[in-house]
Amino acid sequence: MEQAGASFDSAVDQPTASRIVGLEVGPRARTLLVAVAFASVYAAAARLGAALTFPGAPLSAFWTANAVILVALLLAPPRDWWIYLALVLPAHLIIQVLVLDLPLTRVAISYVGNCGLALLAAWGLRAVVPQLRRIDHFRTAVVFVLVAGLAAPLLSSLLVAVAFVALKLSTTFWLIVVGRTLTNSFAILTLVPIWLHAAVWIRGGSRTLRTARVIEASLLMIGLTVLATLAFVIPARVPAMAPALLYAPYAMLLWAASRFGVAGASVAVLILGGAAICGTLNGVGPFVGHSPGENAISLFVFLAVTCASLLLLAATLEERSLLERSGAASEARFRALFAHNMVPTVIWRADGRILDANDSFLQLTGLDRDSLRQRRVGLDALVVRSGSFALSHDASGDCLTVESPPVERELIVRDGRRIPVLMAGFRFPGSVAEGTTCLFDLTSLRRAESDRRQAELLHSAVLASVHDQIVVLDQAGVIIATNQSWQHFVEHSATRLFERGRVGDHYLAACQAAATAGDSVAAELLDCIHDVLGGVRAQRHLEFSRGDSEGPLWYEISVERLQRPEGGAVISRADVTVRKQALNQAQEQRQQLAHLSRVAILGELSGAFAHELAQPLTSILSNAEAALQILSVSTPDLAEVQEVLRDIVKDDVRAAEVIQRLRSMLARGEIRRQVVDLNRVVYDSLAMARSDLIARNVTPVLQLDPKGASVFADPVQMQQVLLNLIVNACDAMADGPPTDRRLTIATRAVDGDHAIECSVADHGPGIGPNIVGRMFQPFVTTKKHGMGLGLAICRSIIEAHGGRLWAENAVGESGAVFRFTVGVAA
Amino acid sequence: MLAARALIAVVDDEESVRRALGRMLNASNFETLVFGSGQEFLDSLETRRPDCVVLDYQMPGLTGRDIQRHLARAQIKVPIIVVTAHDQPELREQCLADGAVAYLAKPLQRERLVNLIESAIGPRAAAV
Repeated sequence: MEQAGASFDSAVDQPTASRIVGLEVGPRARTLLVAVAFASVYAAAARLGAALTFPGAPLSAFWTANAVILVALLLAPPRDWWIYLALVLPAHLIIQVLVLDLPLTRVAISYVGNCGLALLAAWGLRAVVPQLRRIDHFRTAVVFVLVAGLAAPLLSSLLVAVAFVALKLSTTFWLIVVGRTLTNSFAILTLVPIWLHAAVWIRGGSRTLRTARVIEASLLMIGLTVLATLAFVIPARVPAMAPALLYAPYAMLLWAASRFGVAGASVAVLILGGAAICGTLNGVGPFVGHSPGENAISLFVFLAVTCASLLLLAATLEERSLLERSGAASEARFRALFAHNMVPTVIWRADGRILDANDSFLQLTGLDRDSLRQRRVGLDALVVRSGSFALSHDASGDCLTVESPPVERELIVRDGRRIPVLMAGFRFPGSVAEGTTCLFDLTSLRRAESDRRQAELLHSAVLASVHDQIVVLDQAGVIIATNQSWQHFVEHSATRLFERGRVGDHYLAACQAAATAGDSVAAELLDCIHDVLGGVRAQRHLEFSRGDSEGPLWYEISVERLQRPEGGAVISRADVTVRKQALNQAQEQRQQLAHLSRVAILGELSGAFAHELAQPLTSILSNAEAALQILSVSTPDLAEVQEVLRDIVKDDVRAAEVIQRLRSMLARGEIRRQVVDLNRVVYDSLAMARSDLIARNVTPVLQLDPKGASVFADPVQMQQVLLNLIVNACDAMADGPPTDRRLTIATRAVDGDHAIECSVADHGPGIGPNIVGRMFQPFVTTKKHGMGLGLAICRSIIEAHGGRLWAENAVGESGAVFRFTVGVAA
Repeated sequence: MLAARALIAVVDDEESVRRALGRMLNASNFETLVFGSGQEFLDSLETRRPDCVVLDYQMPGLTGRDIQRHLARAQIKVPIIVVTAHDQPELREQCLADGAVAYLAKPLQRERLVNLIESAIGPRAAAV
């Protein structure tokens, strides 16, 4: 009963607009319409009941008014019951007082009696069957017959009879009790099921009627009406058939109960009752041989018993029908589940016979269903002792057709392969002979496990093969893996706190402790790890050295993000001493080469240097000789001597400056970058080459940035580059006419004032196509005595400063322009 | 009675050098005129002609050789002593071929220079 549709409570409570007789009505209008309809139906039923009163007996042959109240209460929520009971009152008064002109006391008692009957029946039914919708179960039918068909009418009738007798409104106590009980019982047992089932049918939505059913119902009703009429209304027409006709309607009643359920049975009994009442009221039929009261009682007993028994039969049949439909649906679901289940499954008998197997099982084993059912498949096809899997009985439980907990086994399939499976068997509930076994193919799982194991082995092997020491940290900085190299290092060579640590140790804490103790490397490493774990940088590196008896050992630590969602870091520590030494050696060689290049350029400028030194020396010597001459007379002019000596000092300083410049260029010191004014370097370089320029008739032209050209560079190396370019420019112009020998040196800010560009332009023939593109390569030269290293070294110097050196032919005139950039001083 | 002092022209682009040479020759009893460039010297010839020229060979603008050639073209016969801080054998040969009476590499020794000047201008003008 619970499964059918929404409850009446919620349906009645529904506050939204609904349609009644095709009209859109609101909740209030709907309530009013229902109330008026209810009251009208009650009034009509009461009027009908009064009209069908037995002649000579104060009993109605068909009192349906109380069935109307009961249906209303069953369809309404209990909180609204008072509304319906109140609505009964005016209808009751109208019929009983105005129409029938009955005394008010009697009317009042009957009102209380009617409402009490309906209340008792509704309350009792709700108490036992809370969600009563249809009477389609045997239990519900029994409760309905006992509560609504017997107890409620009986109790209310006793109350009415007592009141009538006590108020002297009647003297036939038992007639009132029995007669009122039975007439109400008949009306309730027939009408209430019809209305309840009709309500469910109306609210159920699917109101289609099959034609065959309609025809069958029509035939049934017509046949029953004819038979009942013959038996109860006009029995005198065929007196010989009277006994047969009396029982003939029962076949029709059984037909109605078996084919149309409770509602059909109720309608059939109603037709039967109608005919019987009609005959009795007209003084014909089987219930006319006694007093009117006895006739009425007899009729009611006949109808009530017939109705109750038929109702119970119909409910039983309907329940069975429901169960059969439910069972069929359940079987269909099980079949579909079994057939389409991806889990290979078999259904077996305990004697080892396979009753059925689903497609998944057949696919897994390569067997066909018929062979399996007919046992044409040898047991060997499925049995394997080592893996312990068998088709038939097996004392250990390792077989397909016994009950067993989930166990892992191997299944031999048709082509001989062994498939790892997880299988579990159980008997069907309530069955000792049949059961089912499900298998789960573990092949993919095993393969995944194997792949994972292989990956782990490979991972371990890779870690073990790496020479560098590797530590893997989780996001919290705890060591989760180390390689063998690290473990060996920890055991034999580690000297600092951050060089130790095993799996499970908090490495960040160790670094923190070392940093707190003053270890600067640990502090930097801690910073690196924080950066990587915090996502600030994907990787960081640091280098450090430690002393050793054979010289410093260099190490590089790199911290990289661990590429997994949970985060972490990989720290690798490598001994880079050899690489560091090689780098240092290469650096030293570069410096030596640069030095040699400087020496070479100075060699080219040796004449100029000799001139630059000879000039002050000439002055000094001449002044000294003049002073000697001045002092050789008896009254020397001491003031002039003083002036001479001052000149000597000046020239000596000048000579010293030349020597200092030479010394700085010849020195083999380390590179010292500092803030340098590139314009100043240009002036110094030109001073060094001045004599050479004069000797070559080269005129320098300066276009220096008036704002200055401060760069961060090594001044000696800058001078080296400039001297190289100046000498090259002079060489390029050596064959040109002296008037064209202009050397233009310019500086300017470029790259958004982040760098200074210095250009050295000549008016020579320009860069030939045979040399362009190669001129910065080592050992490429156009000079007879050159080694071809100058420009290559210049470029390496500029690139080491983070700048660029390139050459191009002058635009619009002959000559080449060499340009280089250096970053400005911060 | 002292003979008139010989007039020596010193041509050198280096101010300190020409001042020191002038000072030394003055102290050696010569009268000196100093010039910072070849053009200055050539311009002065119109007003006064020196007895001897101490000529720096390597100068911006007119070089010592340019001046030698200019004097030869103008047929001005004045003894020239070429001095240079850029001493090269081929330069010596070239200067002497162009008519220089002497070629000296800097720095200059007073005695050597004075002797050369005196031999160039003869006893008439030599210092007493």
